[in-house]
Amino acid sequence: MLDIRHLSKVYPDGTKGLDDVTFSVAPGEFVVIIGLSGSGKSTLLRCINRLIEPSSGQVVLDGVDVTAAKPGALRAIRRDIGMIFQQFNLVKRSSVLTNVLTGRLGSVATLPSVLGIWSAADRATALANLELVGIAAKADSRADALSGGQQQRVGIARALMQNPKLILADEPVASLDPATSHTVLDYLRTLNTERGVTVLCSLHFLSLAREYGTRIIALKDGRLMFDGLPRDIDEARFKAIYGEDAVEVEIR
Amino acid sequence: MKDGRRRGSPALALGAGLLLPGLGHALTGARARGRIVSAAAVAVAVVAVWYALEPGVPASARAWLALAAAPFWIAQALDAAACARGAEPGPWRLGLLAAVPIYAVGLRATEPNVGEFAARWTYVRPLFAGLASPDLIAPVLTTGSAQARVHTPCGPDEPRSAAPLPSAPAAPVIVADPPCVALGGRVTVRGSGFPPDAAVRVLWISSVGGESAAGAARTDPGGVFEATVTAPPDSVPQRIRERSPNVPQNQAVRALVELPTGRWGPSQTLSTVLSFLGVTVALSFLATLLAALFALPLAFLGARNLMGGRWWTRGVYRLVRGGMNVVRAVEPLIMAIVFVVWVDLGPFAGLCALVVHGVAALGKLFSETIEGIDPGPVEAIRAAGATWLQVARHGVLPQIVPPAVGYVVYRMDINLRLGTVIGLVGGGGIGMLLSQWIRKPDLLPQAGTALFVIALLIVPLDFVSGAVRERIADGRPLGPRWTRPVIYFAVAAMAVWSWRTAEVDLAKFWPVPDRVATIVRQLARPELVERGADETVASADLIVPCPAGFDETTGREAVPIGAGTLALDRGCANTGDGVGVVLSGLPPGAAVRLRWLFADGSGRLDAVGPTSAGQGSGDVGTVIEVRQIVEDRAAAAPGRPTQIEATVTVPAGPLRLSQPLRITLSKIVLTILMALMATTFGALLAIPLAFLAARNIMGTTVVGRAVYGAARLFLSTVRAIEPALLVQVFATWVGLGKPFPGVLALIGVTLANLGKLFSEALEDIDAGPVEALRGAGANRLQVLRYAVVPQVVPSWLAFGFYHWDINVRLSTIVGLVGGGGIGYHLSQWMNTTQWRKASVALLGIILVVTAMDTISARLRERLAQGVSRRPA
Ligand SMILES: Nc1ncnc2c1ncn2[C@@H]1O[C@H](COP(=O)(O)OP(=O)(O)OP(=O)(O)O)[C@@H](O)[C@H]1O
Ligand SMILES: [Mg+2]
Repeated sequence: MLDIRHLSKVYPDGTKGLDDVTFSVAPGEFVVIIGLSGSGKSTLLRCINRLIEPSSGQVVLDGVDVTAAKPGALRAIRRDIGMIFQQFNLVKRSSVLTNVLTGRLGSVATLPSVLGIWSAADRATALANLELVGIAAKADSRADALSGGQQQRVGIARALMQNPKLILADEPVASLDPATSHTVLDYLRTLNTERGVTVLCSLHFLSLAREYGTRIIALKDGRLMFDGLPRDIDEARFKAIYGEDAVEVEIR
Repeated sequence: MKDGRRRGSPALALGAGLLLPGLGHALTGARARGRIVSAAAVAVAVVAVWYALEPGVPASARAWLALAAAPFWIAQALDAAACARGAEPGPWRLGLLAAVPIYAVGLRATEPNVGEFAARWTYVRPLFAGLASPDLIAPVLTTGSAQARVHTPCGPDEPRSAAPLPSAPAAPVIVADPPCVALGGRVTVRGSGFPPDAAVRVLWISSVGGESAAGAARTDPGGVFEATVTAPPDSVPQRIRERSPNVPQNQAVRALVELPTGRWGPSQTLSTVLSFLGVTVALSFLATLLAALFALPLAFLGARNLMGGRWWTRGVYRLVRGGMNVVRAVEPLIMAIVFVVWVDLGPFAGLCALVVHGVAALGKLFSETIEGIDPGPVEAIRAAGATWLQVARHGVLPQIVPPAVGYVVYRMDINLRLGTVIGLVGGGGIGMLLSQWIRKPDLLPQAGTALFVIALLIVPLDFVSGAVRERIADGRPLGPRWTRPVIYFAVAAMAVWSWRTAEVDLAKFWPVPDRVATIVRQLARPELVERGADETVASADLIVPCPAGFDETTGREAVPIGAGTLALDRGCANTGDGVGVVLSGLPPGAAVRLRWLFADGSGRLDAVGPTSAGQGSGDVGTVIEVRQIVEDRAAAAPGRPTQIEATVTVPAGPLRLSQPLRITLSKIVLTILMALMATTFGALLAIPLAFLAARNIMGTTVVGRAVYGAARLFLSTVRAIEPALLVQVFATWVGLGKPFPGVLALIGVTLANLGKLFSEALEDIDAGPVEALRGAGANRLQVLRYAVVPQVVPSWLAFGFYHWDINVRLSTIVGLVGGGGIGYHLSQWMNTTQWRKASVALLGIILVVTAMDTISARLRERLAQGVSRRPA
C-alpha cells in the first residue's frame, strides 16, 4: 500500500537526512524502523506525509503519488495517515476531548471547527476512541494534567479520529517508562491486528522492535541498512546497525 | 581588547592623535580603540558645533567650551602614544574627559534655573498642599432656599406692597416688600418656614441671571427672618438702563440657608475628579478591549511560523509586523493630537489613539507569543490534514490564550496610565480637567487633589495587575470556578458602560472629514527645504478722515515696490470704510505682508497676502488686491496720514535647509541632551534610594523595614504619575515650554524607575560573597563596596543606558505638554495647523527614537559581553 522510491532528503545545511531509501509496505504490516539517533528515522516518517519536503524520490500511497500532491490533495492524503509523536504534541491547555477531536480537523468544515463547534457524531467517536485507549474518564481534564503514558494514549486516540489506513509513529514510547511503553505499543498492535491499520513505527530499542514488529527496517546515516524479519537480525547485523560497541538491551 | 600587532612610533601616534582624534590609534593598529575614540570625538564635536550655532550663546561660553574639550583632545593623543608603546591604559579616564564638554553643554543648554525653582515655591505650594492634604470629603449640607421676584423699576399699575407672608408654610417662602423698586431702592425680605436659628444669606439675582450677595440675617426659633437689601444699581445692563429706564426688569431675591447635617460626603472637588476619572477608566478599558480584539487576528498574520509558506504569505507577515513597529513608535499622545483633529476634542479622540497604539503593541506581543509556542501540536494538527485556519484555531489559539490574557491585563495597566494624560492634549478624561486646573493659581489645591486621586488609583493598580499577571503566568486560575462567568459578565457590563462614557461616535470617524485628508496630504510633504527670500518694503499714505474738499480719488499715487507698484484705490477714507491695497507687477510666488502704521505711533500687522503665483498675466505681472477696513485709530491724529506699509517677499537664491528642519535638528540635539542630563541626575538620585528600597540591604530591624517600606511607597507613587503629568507640575513651577521643567520631570521618572530596577538588582545578588566578607570581618560599608556594588554595577549601567533610550522617547512627549525640546515645537506647529512643519518634527522624532533604540541595544549588548568576559 505504501511505496517509498529512492527517497532522499538533504537539509539546507547539507546534512543528508535520507539517502536514496526504497522499500514498500503491504497492508496490515507492523513495520518498525530502528537506527541510531540521527540515522534519519524521523526524517523518513515526516517525509511520508510531507511534514518535511523530500528532496527527491517518491512516496506513493495506494497508488497516489504523495510527493506530487497539490496542497488540497495533500490534506486529503494526510487525512488518511495518523501520526503519533514522541513528545505527544498535545495542546497542553486544551481538554483531552478537544485534543482528540482535533484529529478530525482534516475532514470537517472550516467555519464550525474554527468556532469550536463539533458534531455529536464526532464527539461520540472521540469518546469511543478514548474508551478504546482506556482514559474516557479523563475526557474533560486538561491535557497537561495527564501522565506521560496517558498523554500518549490521547495522541493515539487523536490519530484514531482520522480513521487512518496508515499510522506513522515516531518513537511513540521514547518518553515513557518501560511498563507504560508496553501499554502504548499494545494499543498500537491491537489497532494493527484488529482494525487492520498499517503501522510504521520508529523505536529506539531493538527488543521492543523484535516484540511488536512484523518487519524491521534499519537506517544508518540516512541509508537503508536492513529490511527483513525481526528474527533475521543477528549479532553481526546488530553491530552493523548500532555500531561495534553496542550491546542489546532488554526492555521488559 | 587585543588589537593585534602594534606598530608605529609613539611620537607619530601622538602627532596624528593631536591632528585628528582617533587617527593616532588607527596608525598604531589599535583600530577598535580608535573607533571608540573617534565616536567619542564625533559626539563631542556635534555637541560643540551645535552649541556654537545656537542663538544667544555668549562668546565667553564658547571659549569655556573649547577649554573643556581640550583635555580630552590631548588625553586621547597621549593614549594613542601609550598604545603605540604597547601599554593599554584603562578607558575610564578618557571616557570621563569626553563627558566633561558634553555635560558642560548639557548643563547650560537645558537652562537649569535653580533660583526660579526656589523663588516660585510659594506659587506652587498650594499644589503640593492639595496633594498632601487632598480635599476629599466635606460636610453634607441641607439647604433651604426660596426666591421672590422684584421688578425694577415699578410698572405703572403695580401694587406697591407685598402679599402677606404665610404663617407656617411646608417649605421655605419669602416675600419682597415692596415687590417693585427703583434701582438703588431698598427692599425688605421676609421669610418663613426656614430652619430655626440658622444663618440666612440673601442673594440678588439680576435680570441676566448674575448672583451677588445682598445681605444676611438669622432666623428666629420659629424659622422666620427679615432682612433689608438694596437693589444693586448695576444689576441692569447699562444699555437697557439708558435706553429704556422705565421698563420694569425682572429681577429677584433669594434667601439661602445651609446647615451641616452632621454627615460627611465627597467634596465638590472629589465629585468632579471622580467623574473625569470615570471617563479615563472607561476609555482605557474600552481601548484595551478593542485593541485586543483587533490585534488577535492581525497577530496570526504577523507570526513568522504561521506565515512561512509562500512568498506572498511571507510578504503579508513582513507588512503586518513592519506596520506594527512603525505605529508602535508613534507615541499615543501624538496620535491623540491627530485624532483630536479628526474626531474633535473629547474622550473618543483619546480612545482612538489608545486603540490604534494598543493594536500595534498587543499585536506584536501576540505575534511573538505565537512564534514562541510549542510547534508540536501545530505539526500534529497539520499532519491530520487541517487547513491554515484550523491550525490557527486549534493548534495555536489555545496555547496563546493565557499569555495573551496576561498581556491584555498589562496593557490595561498601561492604558489607564495613558488615560490619565491623554486629556492633556484634548483626548478626554482626568488629564483634561487637570490641565485646566493647574493653569489657574486659585485652583492649584484642587489640582493637587486630582493628582492625589490619580496616584490612589494607579499605585494599587500596579500591585493588582502584577498579581493577576503572575497568576496567569503560573497557570493558576484567578479564583474559584464560579468567578469565571462573573468575570465575563463584569467585562461585558464594563464594556457597555465604557462605550457610553467614552462618547463613542463612529459617525465622526467615518467618513473621514476633509480636513483630515488635507492634513495627511500636508504631512506627506514635509517642509525640508526652502528658498531664501528677497524682501522689498514700500508704503502708501492714507488720509483719515477725508478732509473737506477731498474726494476719494484725490491723492492716489502708485509707489514702486521691487519690480512692481503699490497703490491704494483711494487717497483718503473715513473710519469704517474699505480700502483696497493693490500690488501689481509682482513676480510669481510673491507673498505680501501689510502693516498699518498709525499716526499715533501704534501699528497693526494686518494681512499675510496670498502666496499663489500666476494671478494676472502679461505685462501686468501678478496682481494682489487686499481689502482693509479703516479703524478708529487711523483718525486719531487728523492731518497726519496713516501709512500702509507692504512687504513683498519673493523667493530667491538657492535651496537651503528649511527653518523647521533647522529647528528640528537643533532641538533634537537638545532633546538628547535633556535625556542625558535627566538620566544622569535621575540615576545618581536613584542610587541611594535603591539601597533604601532593597529588602536584603535594609535588614529585618523595625527601622530597616519601615525605611524600606517608605522608600518603596515613594518610588511607586512617583511611578504612578505619568511623565506628562509631572511636566505639568514642573512647568507650572518653573515655566512652560522651557527645557528645564522637562528635565525635572524626566529626572522624576528616571529616579522612580531606576530606583526600582536598581533595588531589584540589589535584591538579586548572590548572598555568598556577602557572607564570606562578613565572615572575614568586613564592616557594612566594606561589604557594600566589595561584595554588593561589584555585583550590581554591570546591570545598573545596562539599566542606565536603557533608561536613556526611554528618556529620549519621553522627552519628545514631555515637550508636547510644555517641557521644551522638539516636542514643544511639534505641539506648537500642530496646534497652529502647520502640518508640513509638524511633519518634519515627526520625522525627526521617529528617526532619533529608532536610532537611540539601536544604539542602546548595541551598548547593552557590549556591556553584557564585557561582563561575561571579565573575571568576577
Ligand atoms: N531541520 C534540520 N536541519 C538540518 N539537519 C537536520 C534537521 N533535522 C534533522 N537533521 C539531521 O538529519 C539527520 C537525521 O535526523 P533525524 O531527526 O531524522 O534522526 P532520527 O533518526 O530521528 O534521530 P533520533 O533518534 O535522535 O530522533 C541528523 O543528522 C540530523 O542532525
Ligand atoms: Mg527522531
